[in-house]
Amino acid sequence: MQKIIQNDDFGSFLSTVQRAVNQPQGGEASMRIIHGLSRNKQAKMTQMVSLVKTSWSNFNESLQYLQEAGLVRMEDDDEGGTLWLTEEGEHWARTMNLEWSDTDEEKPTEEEN
Amino acid sequence: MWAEWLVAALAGAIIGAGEIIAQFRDEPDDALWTVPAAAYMFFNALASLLALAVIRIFGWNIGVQNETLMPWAQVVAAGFGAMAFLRASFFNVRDGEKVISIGPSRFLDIVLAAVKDAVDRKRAEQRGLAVSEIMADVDFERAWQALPSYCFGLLQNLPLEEQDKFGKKIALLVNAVMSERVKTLLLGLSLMNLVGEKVLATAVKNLGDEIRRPPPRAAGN
Repeated sequence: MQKIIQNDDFGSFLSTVQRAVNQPQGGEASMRIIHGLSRNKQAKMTQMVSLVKTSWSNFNESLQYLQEAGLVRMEDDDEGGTLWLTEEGEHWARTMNLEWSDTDEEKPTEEEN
Repeated sequence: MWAEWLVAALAGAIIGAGEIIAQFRDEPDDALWTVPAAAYMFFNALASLLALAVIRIFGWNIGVQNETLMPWAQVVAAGFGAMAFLRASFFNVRDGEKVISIGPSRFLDIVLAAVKDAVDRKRAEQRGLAVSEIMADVDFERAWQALPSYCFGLLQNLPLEEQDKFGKKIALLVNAVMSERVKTLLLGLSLMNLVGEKVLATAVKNLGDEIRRPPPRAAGN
């Protein structure tokens, strides 16, 4: 008798998290984007790039990752786009503010490898 | 008759309350017990009273000749008339990609947005308290795989896209430079949004020592 193999109820979570942990995308730059958005809830792309202090490719990668994770959304406009925190992104920002100070210089920046 | 005025005001307030409940179906109690929500209902009640006053001043009988029924017909007309007027817009203005309605409905939109903000703040406080209570002794390193897997196992039918999304969030936390405490709170917060407070509390309780912070070693051991 052939046994029917069912997917686990959490299999997709485990494979995604393992893949993402072993191939970190964005990292600290992602956290800086969330923190930067927590101040005003929205920001122009150009402002955010200068605030995050990382390379353009790393910034793009981090932003895409945050959008896929459902923490940030982007609206296209004439000025390169506006970034917003999603509802859950706002919850994250509030909790992260327990630890992060307003002076970004105190946090380590991610260097391009 | 004061009863007619009272019913007109109540009709306005109930219509306002209904609108708030429709917007916040998941937690209507939280939405109704906020200052902006009370102001919204009060304003709707006031509009109904004003509409009834106008109807009475001009002596509109709303097509009802019976003297007993006419005052109540006026009350009904005031309630619905005020509701229709307050939700009307005279014209729309386009600002970039946004379309803004100009008219009394604009005011109601602003008050509803204030209610939403107030409810979000109230919920955020409640959620924050619940998460820090449930996750108080949880160790992030032990829990970041086990706790979500267990919660999703309890839920059974969580869509794969939601699991992927969640996996990305957790990977972000694993690689982030921040304290274990904040990571644990964010893990709890994200799980609570997905599975709810009760499932999270049950999962933490059931996993027990598997995900709890190890007790500090006693001196001399």
